[in-house]
Amino acid sequence: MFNKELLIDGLDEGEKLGADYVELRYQDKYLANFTYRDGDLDSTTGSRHGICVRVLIDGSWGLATTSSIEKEKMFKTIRSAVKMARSSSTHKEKKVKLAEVDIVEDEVISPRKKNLLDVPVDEKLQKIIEAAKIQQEFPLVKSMNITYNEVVDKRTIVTNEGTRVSWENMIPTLMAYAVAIEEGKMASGFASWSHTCGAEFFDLHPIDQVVRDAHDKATRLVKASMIPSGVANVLLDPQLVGVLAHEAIGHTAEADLVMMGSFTQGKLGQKVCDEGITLVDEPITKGSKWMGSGWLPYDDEGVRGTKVNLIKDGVMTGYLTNRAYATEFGLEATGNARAYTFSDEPIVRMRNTYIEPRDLSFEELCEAIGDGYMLRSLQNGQADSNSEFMFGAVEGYRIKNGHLTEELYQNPVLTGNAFDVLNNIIGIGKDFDVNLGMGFCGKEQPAKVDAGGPHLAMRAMLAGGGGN
Amino acid sequence: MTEEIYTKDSLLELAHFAVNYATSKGVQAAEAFFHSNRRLQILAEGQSIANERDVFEIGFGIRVIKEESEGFSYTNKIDKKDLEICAEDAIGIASVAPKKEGLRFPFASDYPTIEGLYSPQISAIETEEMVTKMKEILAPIKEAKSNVNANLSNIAIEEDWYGIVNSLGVEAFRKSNEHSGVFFAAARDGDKIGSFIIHDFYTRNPSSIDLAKFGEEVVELAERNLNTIVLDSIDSDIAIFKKGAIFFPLGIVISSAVGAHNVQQNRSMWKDKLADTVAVDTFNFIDDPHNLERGGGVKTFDDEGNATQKNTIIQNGILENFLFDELRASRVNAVSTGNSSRGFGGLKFTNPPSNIMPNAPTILPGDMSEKEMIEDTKMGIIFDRFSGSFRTENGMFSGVIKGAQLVKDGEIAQPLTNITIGGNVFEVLMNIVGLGKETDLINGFVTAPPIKVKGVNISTQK
Repeated sequence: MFNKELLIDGLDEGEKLGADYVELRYQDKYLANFTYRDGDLDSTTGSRHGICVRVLIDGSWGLATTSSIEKEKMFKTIRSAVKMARSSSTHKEKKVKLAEVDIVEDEVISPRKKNLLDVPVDEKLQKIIEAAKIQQEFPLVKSMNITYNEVVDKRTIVTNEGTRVSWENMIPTLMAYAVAIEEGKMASGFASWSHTCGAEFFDLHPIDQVVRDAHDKATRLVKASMIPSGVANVLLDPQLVGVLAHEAIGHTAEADLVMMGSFTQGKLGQKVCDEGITLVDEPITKGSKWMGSGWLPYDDEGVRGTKVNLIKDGVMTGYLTNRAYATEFGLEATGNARAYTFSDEPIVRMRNTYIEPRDLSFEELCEAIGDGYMLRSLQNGQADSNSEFMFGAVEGYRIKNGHLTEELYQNPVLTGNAFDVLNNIIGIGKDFDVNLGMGFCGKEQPAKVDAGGPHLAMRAMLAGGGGN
Repeated sequence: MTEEIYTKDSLLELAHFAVNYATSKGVQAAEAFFHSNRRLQILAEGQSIANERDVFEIGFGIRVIKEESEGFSYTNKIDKKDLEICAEDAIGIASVAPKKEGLRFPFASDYPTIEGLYSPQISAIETEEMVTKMKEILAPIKEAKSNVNANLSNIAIEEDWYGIVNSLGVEAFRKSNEHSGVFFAAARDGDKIGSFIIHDFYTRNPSSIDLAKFGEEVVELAERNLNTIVLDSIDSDIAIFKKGAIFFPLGIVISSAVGAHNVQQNRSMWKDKLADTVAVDTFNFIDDPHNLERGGGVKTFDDEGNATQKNTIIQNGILENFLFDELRASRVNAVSTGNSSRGFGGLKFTNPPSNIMPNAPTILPGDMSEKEMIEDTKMGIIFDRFSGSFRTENGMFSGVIKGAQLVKDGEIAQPLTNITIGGNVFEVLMNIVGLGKETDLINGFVTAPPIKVKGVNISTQK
């Protein structure tokens, strides 16, 4: 059984071996995953635990991990980390210096009304099996799957500076996917939700409703054509605005990518986009209907998370940092050092990233668009160091003469340079939502992040495969 | 390299223990799978070495069949008590899960021998040698004319041990190692910022890699992206897919379409196309898991313990075979082709073997050199990365081309940006007009030559 005192002993051992800075992180991550796929149900439960040791010697990092919590094996791992750091220090050209941070002792549990683990597995399976029967109502849907998973992530971070932090996060995620076939054409629809919460998730997003949503989308999309390629007026829903905030802007403001030469390098204090845009990354969401699944009170360096305005009224005002990059840029450590599993190194990642709402109603946004398209529901997204981005939506609708029509297009792709796009804003909505669904960020290692914003109207480029 | 406290025999003994424990609890069948991974990595940041990592993990996944229902659980706590708990969890899941028609585990079989899966040369590489290797790569990056920076880039040596035991007599073990590297890099020259590039290598023969040349290639690719232009228009439907652009979307869509799970569940456009023409007659696609040149998918047994085999999937444009695991084979009275998968990459003990994938997907080369392909093109695009959306079910893809170059009058004329592409993978296969005679190992997994196609929708926009 894990005991925090074990890690404290490890700190002493690291110091004895000559480390200037010692950090030990224990993680125990439980995952249950239930996937119903055309009559078959795959069920998985399990957990992984282990210890990550990071030491700093003469400005050089060494990292080693073990899945054992036996003291001798942990000590061996510490020796390995020290060996790595000493080896690295012989050729390290730029010495690491950690920013000063508050020394913290705290234990935090993520908000929940009822523990997910108090709901029996067979009850969850039964909900899924019942929801699967919805397929019978959609004759064009020939294949479907429902995936529900829940993560309980417990971490303890201690440092030889005195920080002692433990937290536990609980995240349920639900995804439904349906494939419709008609006259040799095939299309898919999907819907997904994920928040930091407990079993109240099932009331917020009843499984049958989410499954019905996916089936409905597939059935409509199989009749839809591809959207025409070219520059157009485009209205994005909050989920896609979240992807824009995360993929296209957020990554370029991560300090490691800034150092690599991303678009925002040297732009602090400069106007970078429309003055209506304020873009935020924060550890615990406030003001949205649900708690964003990027919930992170303390990062994996034990640093308390702070809200960061990356862009304030169109001006670049912040970067996301870990302790080392905070020093490099002369900024505060923002609590953005994250590792996915115990065997991963904490790197600079986002948490909950969003564009703040303004003042236009949905109808006013459609009117501002005039003739164009509305894009809904995230399919996937990627971005580049120069702020070029692409993201795929599940569905697109024609907006004609300022009114949303039912003219439907499948899988439109939006692309361009994020800062150009945000300089071509047509209008910003007054609604607000944070939900990336089952979305993960995949920068070297996965990270559960969330993102959102209001509806947002802009001029941008569509790559639809449907011709010019 | 795996921690000395674990040996092949001790891990197989634990696997037998877990299987015996589960069967003693009255299940129909039980299986214990283990995977250990040790990874030594040297990371680069900017133009210098960032840090060093030594990462190790081992775990077990236990699967049971109880009254025709399946249960699976995993753990990385490696002692008998925790394996008992893990087995109990799997049995608990099976007790409440619905029946799975045709569910069965494999019987014991003979496994092929693949010489060279484990290289003593790789296992002998120490940290200091890795550091020297990284310095060789970084030297040309430091000397680049523009400011080229790497991030989250690394070279690594990895050692993996896989084992599986089941109550029907299967006992299999293999160990392998590899030397690999992946660089993400971008160039910047004043306010000009290039799109980032991905460049990688994978080998079981470390002396075959020229690391200085690899570093020079990183620079060349990154700097090329500094000098892109945006065309007013492009009047062509010709594209030459290379490397990463073959992996996504072509390789993934084709691999998905030939899996029996997708065929049986109406998710493959080739469901009723067995023995039909699905590609031009020069196109050949095989699964080649016993050929060491084929990268990370080379293996002796699949993820549920069936022997792997060479599978011909598309021959001369005709769809010859689908790929099966034990479950999907049992449902149509077929035999597993040894393609059960617990997922792509990562630690496999956390997943049950519920997918089907080619082990070492290979598009066989054609007869044109890349130079001839280009010379034979009046106007078109050549590119090595696709950033966009694609659907494995219907083959539709649309997105942005990365690393695009304009081909004009038989020559590479200019690097481009703001090029979008759309099409359908299944139509692309019928519109191939050239296959390269040299292949690349892409992402350490797919082997393929450059492929020239017509009929894709290429757009540009200022």
